[in-house]
Amino acid sequence: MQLKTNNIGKTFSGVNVLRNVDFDLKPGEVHALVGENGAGKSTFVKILSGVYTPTEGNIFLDDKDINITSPIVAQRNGVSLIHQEPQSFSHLSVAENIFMGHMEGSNLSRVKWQEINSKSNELLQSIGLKIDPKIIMEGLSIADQQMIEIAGALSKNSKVLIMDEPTSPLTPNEVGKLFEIVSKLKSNGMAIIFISHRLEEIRQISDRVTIFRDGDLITTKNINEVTNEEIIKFMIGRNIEETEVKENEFLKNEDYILNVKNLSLSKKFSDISFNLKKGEILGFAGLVGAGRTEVAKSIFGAEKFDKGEIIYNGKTIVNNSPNEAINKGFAYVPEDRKQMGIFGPVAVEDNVTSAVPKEISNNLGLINSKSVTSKTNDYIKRFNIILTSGRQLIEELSGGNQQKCIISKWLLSKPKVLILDEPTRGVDVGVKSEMYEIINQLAKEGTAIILISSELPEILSLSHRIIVMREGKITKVLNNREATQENIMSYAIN
Amino acid sequence: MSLFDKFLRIRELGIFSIIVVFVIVAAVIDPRFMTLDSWRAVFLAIPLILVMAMGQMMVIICRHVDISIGSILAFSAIVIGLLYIQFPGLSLWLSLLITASVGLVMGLINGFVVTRFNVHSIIVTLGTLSLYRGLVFIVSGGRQIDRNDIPEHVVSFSQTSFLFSIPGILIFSAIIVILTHLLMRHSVLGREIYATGSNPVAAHLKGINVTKVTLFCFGICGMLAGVAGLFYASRFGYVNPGVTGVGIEFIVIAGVIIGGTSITGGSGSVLGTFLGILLLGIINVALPVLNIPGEFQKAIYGLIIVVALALDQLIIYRMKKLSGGINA
Amino acid sequence: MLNKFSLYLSENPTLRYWIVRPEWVAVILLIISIISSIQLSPFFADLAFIMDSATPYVEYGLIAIILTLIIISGEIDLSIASMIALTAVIFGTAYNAGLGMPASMFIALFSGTICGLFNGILVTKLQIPSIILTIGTLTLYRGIAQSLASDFSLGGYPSWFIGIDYRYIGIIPIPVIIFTVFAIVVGFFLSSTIYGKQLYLIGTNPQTAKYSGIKVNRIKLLLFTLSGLVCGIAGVLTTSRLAVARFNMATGAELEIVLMVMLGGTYIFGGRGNIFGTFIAFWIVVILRAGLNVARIKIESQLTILGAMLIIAIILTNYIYSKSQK
Repeated sequence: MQLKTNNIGKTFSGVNVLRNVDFDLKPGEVHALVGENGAGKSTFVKILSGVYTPTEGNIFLDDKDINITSPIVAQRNGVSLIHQEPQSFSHLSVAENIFMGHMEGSNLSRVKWQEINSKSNELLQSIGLKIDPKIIMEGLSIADQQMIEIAGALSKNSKVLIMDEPTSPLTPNEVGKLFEIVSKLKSNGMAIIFISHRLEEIRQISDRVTIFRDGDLITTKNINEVTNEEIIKFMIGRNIEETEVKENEFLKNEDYILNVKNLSLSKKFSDISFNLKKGEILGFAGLVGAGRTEVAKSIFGAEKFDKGEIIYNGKTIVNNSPNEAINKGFAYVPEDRKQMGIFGPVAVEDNVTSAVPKEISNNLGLINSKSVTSKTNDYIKRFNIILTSGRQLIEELSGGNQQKCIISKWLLSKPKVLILDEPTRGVDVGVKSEMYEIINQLAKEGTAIILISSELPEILSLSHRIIVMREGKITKVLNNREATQENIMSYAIN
Repeated sequence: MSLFDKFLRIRELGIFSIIVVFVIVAAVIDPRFMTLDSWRAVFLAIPLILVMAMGQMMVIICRHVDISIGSILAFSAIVIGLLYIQFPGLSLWLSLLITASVGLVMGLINGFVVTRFNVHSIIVTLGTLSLYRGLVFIVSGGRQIDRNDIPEHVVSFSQTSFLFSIPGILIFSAIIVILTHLLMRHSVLGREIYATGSNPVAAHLKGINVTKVTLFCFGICGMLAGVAGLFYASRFGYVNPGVTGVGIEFIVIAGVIIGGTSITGGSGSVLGTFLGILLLGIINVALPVLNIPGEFQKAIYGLIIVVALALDQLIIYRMKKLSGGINA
Repeated sequence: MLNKFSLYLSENPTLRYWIVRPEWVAVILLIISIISSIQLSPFFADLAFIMDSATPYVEYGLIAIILTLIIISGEIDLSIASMIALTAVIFGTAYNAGLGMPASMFIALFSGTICGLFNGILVTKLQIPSIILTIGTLTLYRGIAQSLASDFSLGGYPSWFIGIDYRYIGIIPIPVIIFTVFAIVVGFFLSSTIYGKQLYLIGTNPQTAKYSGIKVNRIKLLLFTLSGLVCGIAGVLTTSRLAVARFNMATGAELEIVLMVMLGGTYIFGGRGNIFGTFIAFWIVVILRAGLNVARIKIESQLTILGAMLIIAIILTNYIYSKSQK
């Protein structure tokens, strides 16, 4: 089956995240999609598989214009999405996981166990998986669950298979197995879309590669007509205004405020060591899932770590909870703003003062409302936060203004070490440059800053040093002078 | 066999061995426990609870709890009792049909409020628990249905039958248990119920109508509580608006949970539930034999619920930790 | 017109904050119930009558106030009625064992505290959802009460202890004064102290609360413990009022207590609500119950109305909050 898209676009609450995508997929082809986080490739496959409906454009299957309104419609038309985290029913058998939702017969008819078991067996064998279809799903590895999801797609006679970063949770051995299956499917005429950040894998398995950047489809190339360096160039080829990284006097000192030594947490990250000076902005580059957020959470006391040591102001410390970390002078602006950053249906001023209970109350715990309002108003003015009053609910503000409120909240606690996790995600361009000014100003005042960001220009224009992480490990530490988008990217991906 | 599968088997085997040990200890302490009479008492006490437990199990498997079943039982028992006063000749089959329909409607009301307004089922059924109980008093005018109001053929339903004089309610509840087993283990809908409880998001993605499945479970749970109302009238020969079915929901929930049905949904079996209820039934009959006052029964049941909940949570925690899902 | 009004409100957050609140529903309901009950019987125009009608519900009211805090912080405690019975029975048992009044009272309050602590530990350490756990401990605590007291009524208290509901200051019975003072103190705590504010934040978003350095688990543990302590107080008060303690005291009271909180406009999913609403709802329940009694509707039949009110209150509150969020 031939899949074609014409002029696909998607807008989320006014923000255009995907524009004019003309894409084609041939039967018997493995087609890789690459791009930085937020480039639009995930949005695009979600449109193809019915999770999102496009704001504009058409999807053609075998030249027939079809309207994919839900995952079920997509599946009926032969398009199946294999989730990165397999969506399985852990209490049910493998065969049931394959056939759930499209078993034969009406509700009360008997499940044809023999039939679904033997069909499952065939399907599993056809992809070379030796698993008894009668066993319960719970306890199977993610790789096996993924392949069972593929078998489920095959049972629905899918012609187009979309795999969203299928290899990232797999061991090298399992990746090899997956690729055997993919080539087998390909030789049977299946069209496969394959999203990955590992260029070596893409080179190994795919026929063509399409590169996305900032919501645009940049180009589609045959894989053997393009080098890795060229692919990386297409991915990052955006124009950045060359801003000079701001130096400050603190950087001349040699003593570190924070030394992290061999920090490890099983299955998340290992052997993370770095130092941080007062006034320094330390960039953490890498792809989503590289373990940067987990490291930050461990330092902040929101998660534990197995091994290693955190030395703060020359003393070994353990933060058992965010509360302890905050009292020692740490602050963390989380990447997931809605889940961990804001109290949605709560007034802005209560959000802003939520981390500094002692600043807004007396010894008896009585709240001083005047101080709540005045402290909030200080920051509303300082950061030019746009709202009607401090009593407005924070969820009614734009993303950028919400983020300014969260930063205000942490500045109130006068942090010594400020961890910023994707601070400009979902923030418009104007607010972004204001945010950069704020960050530079804080560094100048002596705050040590850890900046986690997936946007290379952001990392490059702010950080004094850059740590690149890949799959839970530090792969490189770069000085700002030697860092370029190209070499960061090449350390971040395989 | 996977870890979880093993655990379920171990759970069923575990209860079974507890039952065996309990019976042996009771029999050694007092041989009277092994008489036909006490076993007859066990198997006469069970059907009522067992039938309700089948419905409750379905509700818990799809991630909800219905605590209004005691009031549903009472309402259906009162309705059928009042009908017997008017029409003493009412046949057993028609009585079954009536009680089942009454229960079904009440169960569907629970299910409707839960699915439509997205409020936790325990809060909703806490409301209907009182609402239905109040209806019992309104319909009956507070009057008890007495022994002589209930026709002989209904009373004999719980005492004898054409088949080796095995009580009719025992046979009937056995049929319901087997039907539930077939539904849950072997029908498409049954598997969809498990799927819904196991992972509602995935179930939705696979095209399962989660609302319909949830409504079905509440409907059946109510229906079986309604049928239990007829069993009650037959077995005890009276229906008292203030006593009938009060607190029975906690016995049922205790039995279901100890039988291995996980409160987080997606797992549980008819065999496990049966064993859970059997254990409670035996404990009930054995307490006087073991010289433990009957007053301890409720505390023991409560302890069983809390321990089973804590155990389940510990196991889920361990398994997640094993698979790297959470950081200790 | 309505659209214009809601637009106006969305531009004036302070005004909206005061207008779109479910506790106004409770206030309106209270006014309606007062007017209609005065129509029903002239008794209701007599404040003393209403005060006297209130005394049997004071124990529930006290607990409803603590339960408001628990629900605001996103949890629930359904074992409350069983804790009343258990602590009352323990009190009675201790006194009849010759321990003397102060010691018996202390033991009752202490055992309530332990029960609450037990709930809290299982909820915060084992992460068992409180709504399910407290269904379990509801059975357990009532069962322990039954094991202790069997079917006996534990009585024989000194006369000064019995009948706290017949002691007055002016026309106001002492229990009503206790309730009102408690409501004011807790209401002040919730609205004006940093700890009160943190309860709202925890209930709104426990994750953000944790990342803001709020000790979520410790606060929840404290609330459950407090709930147990207040149930202990309620247990002793109930014993004083009834002159006896029985294991089946306050059976089904969780309905009325949850109803008071829900009618008062506290959001079942946490983060919103206040003591004022619960206080008003207490009087609605009092007048409703008294009205139904005067109208000679059987106590048991009144359950229908209470049950239906609980469901309607939840649906209505959810609806109002979904509107005020927009």
